[in-house]
Amino acid sequence: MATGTLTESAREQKIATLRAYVSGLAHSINRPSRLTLLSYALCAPLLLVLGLCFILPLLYVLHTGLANSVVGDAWPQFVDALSEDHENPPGEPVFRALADALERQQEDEAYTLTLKPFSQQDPGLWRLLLQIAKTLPPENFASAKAWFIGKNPAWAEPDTWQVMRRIAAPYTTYNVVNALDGSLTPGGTLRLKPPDRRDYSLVIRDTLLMGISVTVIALLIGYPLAYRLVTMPKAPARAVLSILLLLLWASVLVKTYAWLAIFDRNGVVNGILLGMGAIDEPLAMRPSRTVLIVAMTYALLPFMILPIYQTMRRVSLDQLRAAVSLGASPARAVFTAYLPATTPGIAAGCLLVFVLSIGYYTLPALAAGPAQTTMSMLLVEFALTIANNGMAATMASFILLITAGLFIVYVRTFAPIRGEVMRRVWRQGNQVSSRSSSK
Amino acid sequence: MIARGFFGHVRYYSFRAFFSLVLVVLLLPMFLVVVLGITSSRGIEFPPDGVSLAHFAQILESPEWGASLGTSLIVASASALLATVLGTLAAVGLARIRLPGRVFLIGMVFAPVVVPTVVWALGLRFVLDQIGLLGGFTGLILGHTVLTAPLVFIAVSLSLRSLPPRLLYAALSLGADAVDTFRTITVPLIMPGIVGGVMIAFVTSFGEVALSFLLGNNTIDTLPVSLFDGARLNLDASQAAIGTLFIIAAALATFGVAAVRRWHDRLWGLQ
Repeated sequence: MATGTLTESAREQKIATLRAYVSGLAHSINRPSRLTLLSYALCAPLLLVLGLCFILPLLYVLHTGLANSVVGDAWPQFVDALSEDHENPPGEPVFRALADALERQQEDEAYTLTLKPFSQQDPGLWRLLLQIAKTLPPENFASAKAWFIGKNPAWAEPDTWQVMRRIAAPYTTYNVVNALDGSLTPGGTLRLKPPDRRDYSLVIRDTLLMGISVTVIALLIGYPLAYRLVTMPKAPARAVLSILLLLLWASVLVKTYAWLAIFDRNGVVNGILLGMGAIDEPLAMRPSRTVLIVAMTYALLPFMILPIYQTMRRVSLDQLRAAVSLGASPARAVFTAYLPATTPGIAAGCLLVFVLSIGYYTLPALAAGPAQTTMSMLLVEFALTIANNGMAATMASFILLITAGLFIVYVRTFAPIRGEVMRRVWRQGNQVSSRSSSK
Repeated sequence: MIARGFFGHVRYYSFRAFFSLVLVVLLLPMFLVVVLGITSSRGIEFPPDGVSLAHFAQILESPEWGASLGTSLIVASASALLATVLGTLAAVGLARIRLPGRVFLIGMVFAPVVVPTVVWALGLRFVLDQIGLLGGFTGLILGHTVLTAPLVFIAVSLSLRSLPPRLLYAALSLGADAVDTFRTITVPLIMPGIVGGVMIAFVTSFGEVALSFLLGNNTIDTLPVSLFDGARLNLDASQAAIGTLFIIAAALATFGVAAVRRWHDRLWGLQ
């Protein structure tokens, strides 16, 4: 339009200025503002602590469950030689390295320690090694390989070396396989133990079943309770919420202890029954599956009710009334109109209760009988009593993976990270306190 | 209300009865622990034969209980303080909505609440063992900080969100700079969140067992760990007295947070 009146040079100058302006603008948009940097700086201390004391430990757990450093640390030359040779059985250098390693180890105190993975994972190979170690040091042999095979023909078999490679590898699935009550064939296929010799897999199954039953019971009690809470007058509802919050903040130890005292030999149930004359001898009720499930449900009920209540408050009861006025029976109205609308709360509550129930240690350690060992109890036993860090870490990894899997499903299905479950519980707590403050 | 008919009435009242029953069952165990704690008998005995506060005096006098109570108070105070500083700073930082990576960072701050404690406590045990801090105060306090910082973070975040932006705009338009605004407007107004966060952090840390059990490594016992060890052998009334302490702590958290907010709102003439 008016550009026609401009001279060529003035026009170019103008375009250049515009370009500079636009690129400067783009630059200032891309450059993080001072406030953004300040925000990161404010988060940094907490993130540092979480990184060192939470993320790093989790990685360490995953690593420890799979790590296999015993043989690699003790016999580095042998493991190096083995990894360079891909034949089964391998060539002369590997045999020579093994002979050297065994010879050097015999003077060592850590000898049995190095051989422990072999005794655990393949007693046959372990005996082979012991046999060889006993006859060392040999007279100057021309070929170590021939000498080994001369001692025992098993050294020439590919299977022996497949197992050897697995035990000498830097990572192993041994703990995972062991935790599932299986064993590996030399070829590496998983074979489960016969049912009567299973141990850990039963603990895992029972723990998951316990978690599911606690979740279902808590849902059956919690859902109607939350509904009543939404429909009742404000003042009593606040009182009930205070009770729930008290239970939420009370230590799980005291919640467990209360039920131990109730079910104890000299406890409340026996006291009342004896006092009434209903029984002559105190009943032995503790600890057992019943006590475990009752105490667990009790401890976790607030985590079920609060998220459901939070969701219900946002769902209008008009939907329910509309369904009833259109001729639906109350039950049908609840199932078709109300239940679907409150599903996010149900999912959040169930997720929390399930994850916490399989993760709790204190409660089952006190309330469960010897027949109800849970995964977390097994974890602590491995870590503290047996000092088997690999198995403890494997159990922890299982719990971690179950938790993470359920959370991913939950977040994908119901909520972007905004609707984070824990925040729902908490927001409830805060609203109660702010609402009671308005009175 | 809607007309019910006979069965409707039965349903209505049985529902209310169920509700009341559940409430009683929820409250009774807590009540019972307090009752057992103030009896005069040594063991657990029901019905109790007399009232006395002897067991509470015994907690302070007995060297073991007293030592673990001291450990618990130190660990809970130090970690609550640390968690409050870290959690508040992070909450203020992450309050900025248009922060790249905000969702990820919030998820990371929340993670310790969601991942079962034994899992990361085991990992922290390995790490502390490597650097020789297992079974000491440093490790315990760090662990408890991880446990409680997310709770402070949530409390302060919610306070920040309820902060009316117009107050900040008013301060800025009257000539205060960002730091002054933060110091004189933001901090006083989110005080209930911070104080509530401290209380919740303290109470949570004070009652935590599994974490202290794994990190204390039998060399350093907190009060809950001592109670846990004792209750695994047999029950007695002094344990119930300690349980009463935990209930009092939980009650302080529940009603203290509400009280602080009420007091604060009155002070500032809010609502």
